[in-house]
Amino acid sequence: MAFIEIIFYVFSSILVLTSLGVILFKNPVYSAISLILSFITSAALWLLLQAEFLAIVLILVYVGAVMVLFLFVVMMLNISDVIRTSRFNKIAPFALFIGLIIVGELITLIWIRSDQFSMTSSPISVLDTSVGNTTLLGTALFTDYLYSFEIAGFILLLAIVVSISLTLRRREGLKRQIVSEQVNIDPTKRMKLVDLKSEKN
Amino acid sequence: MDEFLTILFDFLPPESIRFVVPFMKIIILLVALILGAAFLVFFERKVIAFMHQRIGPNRVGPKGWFQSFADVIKLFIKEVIVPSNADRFLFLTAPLLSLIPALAAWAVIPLNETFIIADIDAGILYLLALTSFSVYGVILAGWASNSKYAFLGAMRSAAQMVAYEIAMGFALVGVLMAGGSLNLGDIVAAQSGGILHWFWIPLFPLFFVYFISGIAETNRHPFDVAEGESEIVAGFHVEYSGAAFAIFFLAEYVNMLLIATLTSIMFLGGWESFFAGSNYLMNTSLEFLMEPSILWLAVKVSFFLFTFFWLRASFPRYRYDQIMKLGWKVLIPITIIWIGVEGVMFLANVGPWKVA
Repeated sequence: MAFIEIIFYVFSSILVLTSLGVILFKNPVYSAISLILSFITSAALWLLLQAEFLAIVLILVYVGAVMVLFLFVVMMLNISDVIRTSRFNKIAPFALFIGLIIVGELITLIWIRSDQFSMTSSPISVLDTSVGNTTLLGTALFTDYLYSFEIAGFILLLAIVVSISLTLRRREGLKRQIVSEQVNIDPTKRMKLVDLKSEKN
Repeated sequence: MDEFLTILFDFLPPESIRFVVPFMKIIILLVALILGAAFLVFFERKVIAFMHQRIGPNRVGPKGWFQSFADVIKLFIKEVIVPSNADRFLFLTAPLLSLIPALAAWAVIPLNETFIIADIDAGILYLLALTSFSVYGVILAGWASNSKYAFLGAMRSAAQMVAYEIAMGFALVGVLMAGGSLNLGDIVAAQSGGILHWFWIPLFPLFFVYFISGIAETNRHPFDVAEGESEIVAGFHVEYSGAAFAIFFLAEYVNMLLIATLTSIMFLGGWESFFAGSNYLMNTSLEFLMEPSILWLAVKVSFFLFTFFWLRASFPRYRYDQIMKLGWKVLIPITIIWIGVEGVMFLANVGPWKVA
């Protein structure tokens, strides 16, 4: 067995175990941490396929930003284990059903394309390797797929603006710091010099 | 460096050299970093003492030079106390989670033309990914401690790091536009030719933003609300003692070294000489000053480290809402605008860089 295959199996088993951990840990913080670990291992698998840009972006976006907020929320929740397990048991059949559908779809996909799949090579490795695949992806996104890329970016921006405007609330009587007012304050209006009788002797 | 190590381990079978050489490089860098962090603590205390008109540490070793080693020995023989009801596993992993990314980031950092552990194409992306890791150490430490102060520190730190990472990332986008590469060695090569060719002039706002967000990322003063000893005791590491605390401490100083080195590499030409390409020194006895060397990098890094301490001694701590305001409403818009300006400069062919 080649060295690269050993690495593949090691990472895949870690990935499967951590994914199981996400749903089986009773402590939500541990679930979140397993999810982080599973992201990192899938990034490692992508690295094996020479997709270094995607791998690093997966870590950057999901581990570096999304999961921080996830953990942030999960830590502030104080759900007792009992509630969580009972809720899990309630939705388990439904989740199982959806999971089976996804597995079925994946198997069909792999079945149809089985001649094109390989464990350690990807379409990327067929491409020109003299430039990194960051350059390749960048060139593709900004030439052939420019419109779809820009539209996707615009939709995301729109989503940010909408979600902020939905949650924005102005409370009455809220005191805010206005830096320009602080800087432009006239000291003579703030301070009064008083002559005290006791000082005049 | 590679050739030197290859010669040094010549007696080994040739297949094993492939593994031994990088391993030795890792060891060399690791020892250098840990010693660097130790003397950095001493440097910091001396600088702060000088600014406070005090003497600073002067008891251990000649002129107090071994103070940090005394501190480290003290910390390592102290007991690591795990608070009751703390999550023992996470409590003990959290310090490692903050140290490991700090050290791993050094893998892609070139210290001169030849010394680099992993010369990968996507160096800057790797660095961004790893710096985003380090927040977990702080968050998990705060949560696992089962203490309100630690938890507050962790919450503050998480929000702060997520905010400043964006400004940092945008500043790096500017650098990779100017350098035309994601590889740090190529970025230094793009700045060759004296102080006027370095990126700090065309990218001055980004240089500024990068260093400020670097200070915020490392949780140093004046952005150290995560520790905030006057409000929340010691923030996320309030429950830590002994070796576990020492590891947090080490991670903080290694991160400072990292930020200072990165700022020097990306904006001040890394190991390029200040005088490279100068006509005055050409053909004189001082010509050796024009050579690129790791010593130039050391000078630049020391300057930024000094700036870290200088800022610490000069500024009061930011209030939390002011930190958020600075990050989101000042630094991020500056970087976005400057990336646009840079694009226009590219089109108009203004600036030292060449259009690829």
